[in-house]
Amino acid sequence: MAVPYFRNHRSMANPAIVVLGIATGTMLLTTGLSPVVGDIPAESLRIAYSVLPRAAISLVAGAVLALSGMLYQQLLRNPLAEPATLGVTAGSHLALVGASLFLPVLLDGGRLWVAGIGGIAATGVVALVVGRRQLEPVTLIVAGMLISLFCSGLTSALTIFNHEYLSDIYVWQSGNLRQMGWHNTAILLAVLSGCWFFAWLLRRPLAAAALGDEILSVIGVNVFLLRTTVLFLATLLGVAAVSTVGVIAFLGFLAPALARLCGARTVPALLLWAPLQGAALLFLADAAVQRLPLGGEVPTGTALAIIGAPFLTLLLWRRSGFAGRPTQLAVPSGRRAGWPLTAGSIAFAAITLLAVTLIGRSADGSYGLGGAIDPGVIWQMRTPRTMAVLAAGSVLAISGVLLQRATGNDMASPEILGISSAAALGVLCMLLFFPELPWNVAQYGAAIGACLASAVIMGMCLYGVEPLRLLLSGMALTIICSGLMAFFLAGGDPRASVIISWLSGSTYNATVAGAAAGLATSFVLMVLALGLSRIIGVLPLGDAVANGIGMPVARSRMLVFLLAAMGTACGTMLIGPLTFIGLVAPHLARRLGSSGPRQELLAAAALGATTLMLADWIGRNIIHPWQLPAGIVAAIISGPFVLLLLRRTG
Amino acid sequence: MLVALGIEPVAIADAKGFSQQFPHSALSPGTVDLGARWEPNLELLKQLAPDAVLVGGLGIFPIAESIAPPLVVQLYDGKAPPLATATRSLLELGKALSLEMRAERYVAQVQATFERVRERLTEQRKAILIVTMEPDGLDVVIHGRNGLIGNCLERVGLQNAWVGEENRWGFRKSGVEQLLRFVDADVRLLVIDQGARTDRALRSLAGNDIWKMVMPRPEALVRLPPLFPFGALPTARRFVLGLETAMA
Repeated sequence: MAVPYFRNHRSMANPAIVVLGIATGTMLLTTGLSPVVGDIPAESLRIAYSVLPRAAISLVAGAVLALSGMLYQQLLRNPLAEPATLGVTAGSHLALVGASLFLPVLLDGGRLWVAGIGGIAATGVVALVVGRRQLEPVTLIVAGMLISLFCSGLTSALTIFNHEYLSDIYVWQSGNLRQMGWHNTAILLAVLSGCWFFAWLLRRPLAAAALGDEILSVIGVNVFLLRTTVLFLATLLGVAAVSTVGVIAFLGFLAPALARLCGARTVPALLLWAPLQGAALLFLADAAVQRLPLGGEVPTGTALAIIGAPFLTLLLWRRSGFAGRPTQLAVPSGRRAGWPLTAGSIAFAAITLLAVTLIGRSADGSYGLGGAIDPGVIWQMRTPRTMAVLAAGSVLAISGVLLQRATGNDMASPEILGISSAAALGVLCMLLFFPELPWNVAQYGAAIGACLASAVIMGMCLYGVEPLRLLLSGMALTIICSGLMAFFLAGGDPRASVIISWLSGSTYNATVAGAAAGLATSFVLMVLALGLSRIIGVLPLGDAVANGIGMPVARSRMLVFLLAAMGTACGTMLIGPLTFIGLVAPHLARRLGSSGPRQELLAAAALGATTLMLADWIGRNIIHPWQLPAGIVAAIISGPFVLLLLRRTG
Repeated sequence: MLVALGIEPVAIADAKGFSQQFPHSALSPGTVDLGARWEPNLELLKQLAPDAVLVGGLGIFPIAESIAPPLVVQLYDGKAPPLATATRSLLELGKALSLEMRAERYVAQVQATFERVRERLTEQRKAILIVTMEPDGLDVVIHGRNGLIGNCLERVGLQNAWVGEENRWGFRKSGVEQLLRFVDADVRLLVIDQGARTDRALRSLAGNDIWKMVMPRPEALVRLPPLFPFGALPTARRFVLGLETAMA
């Protein structure tokens, strides 16, 4: 008995758009070919072995990414999920960089195996960490984010010192569909067919999965087995795409979203239309990128990110009742450590401050107390950096607490506001449009970007925009930023190392004035945040509770957001856009036992400051005289630490 | 450039990298490593108390000024031809360090080398295409007219086959299949040898049909000695000598 899924289409929008996309793409491609092709052997070779395979792989890769995204979205019950969410991209990147630098022989046969194993390993770790909880969606997402951060941290550490040797990987990172044969296309087609077939077999359990775990158990489906299978399929698809064509950040959620918008609502309909939309989109994007006169050759991934981001924001903006209930903050049970924890963490922070300022390494590499070396060294060079990092750590931690409580979602971090990306974009614009400027002046671009973004957020708040939509814009900005950044780095600009270092959270250019301003801001921010403690105590309990006690929910949330934006802007101007300490510090505080918003604020600020100070110290001394940016060290240490906590307390 | 003037620096950022990229300018073994080029370790520098600090064009570090008077060398601003700028910078540096004679002598030596190579290569009719291969075998970096390499080609009278667009640093990153454009023309392809990276690229391209058309006889591939395209006069001299050997 055939389910009449074709009757679910309320419009012809889906087939229409797919056909339009493919037709336009074909037209763009064929205009680039000369009419006397047959006479020139070199040209016909180019078409047979470069142009045609590229066109074919854009279709297939588009379908693969769309299908992968759709499966991730079903699995994680989150319309924003896609291969990168669970670490596929970060894992592949790390594997590629590691292999390029240490075992290049592994890359002789092409990138496929190395990138593939990296991606699968990353997701495997995520699954292992969350395995005890039956692969529950929210924890999967948090674990995925942490693994991605950890991998990115390691990758950045390796990249900073070797970026001249990794130029081909930047190109991969921005999504390069260039082909020299049919090899990759064939592999991808095989993976697509196999996975699609299995997904089709699973269409009914998949559809039921959206209704919740209880329903699934009632109808006799093994939840764990289903989740594992879907995860496996989605990961395989994601990994295959990433290994062959590189990072194409957007397609995973753009294509299914587009299919849904055009009327495909059920799982079988999505299984049919999402891959087709993905294929048409990537085909069109790649054709456009090849034909449009854009100076250099813009990589397809970057182009798609730039065009797709605003489009996606518009798309999701229009939908009402978006994204279901906010998830509750995971608060572990057990005896709360309370005020002793808070006091202890502040004391620890103070001790750390003293230690990192006084202990350092001298010319022959030995460790020594500051007094033994020129005191000017301490005041002029170390104190600004340590103070900046203290201020940044506390300010970002406060913002993190505010955001997580305001959205009731423990994967909220200052980055989602988009301010850090705006700052990075600001710096990039300065570098591109005013190339003669020295670096410390170009850094003001970060301040400009951060202030502009904060102003926009303020405007949106006053206009009464829902917080979730605010976050979407932030996310879109982040994706545009990473696309442009990868493109910039792929271009071989000799200033690349400076910007990579800044992106990874380097305190090198901290000044006394900047540090002082940062400290003042963090003090003011803490006072204001503590003043809002009633609001942020009630918001995570849900809108119903808040309304019940007469709190103006929307306005309160906006106030909290504004404060968080202020904190993020300050933190970004101090140490660059690596703001994830705002994600980690609140988690740390909560898991170590702080209870209630006030304790959480103070403890998180102290813990955030301590972590960054330690990270900065390690970065400055461990490979003396070379220096690792604080952000990278922090990512590498704290990522696994929080994962461990996640696994233990559950 | 300091080595060209006969001075041994007390310390340099990224000593190992420098030796790799500029093997023709040898550093003495006692030179202290200051760490990353974009973040030289200022604490260490202060402890070493140098007489002067030579700063490249990437960024001026205000803190560095408190250590010793800085000498700024701006080579690659994307506007003036790098070869001319490099020559001028060396002469200015010589003047600043009271070593004008040595600087002028060095410049004269390099000019003489250019002239000599130019004369030896007057017979060359073919246009030259100089590329660096990316290790994945998919992309190449084609050196255009405005970089140091392009300037040198022009200086020795060779014609650069690449007349397309290039970025402000004087090169263009493109796909290997773009080389098919030059297959039928009278163009000689030279590859800058980057050691293991070039080997990897050639290995990936070994069975490839497109590459077979571009380079029908793999053993005929001419490799130029490795060089860092953002160098100054000593690099230019080394490149030109490498050209002479390769084309002879």
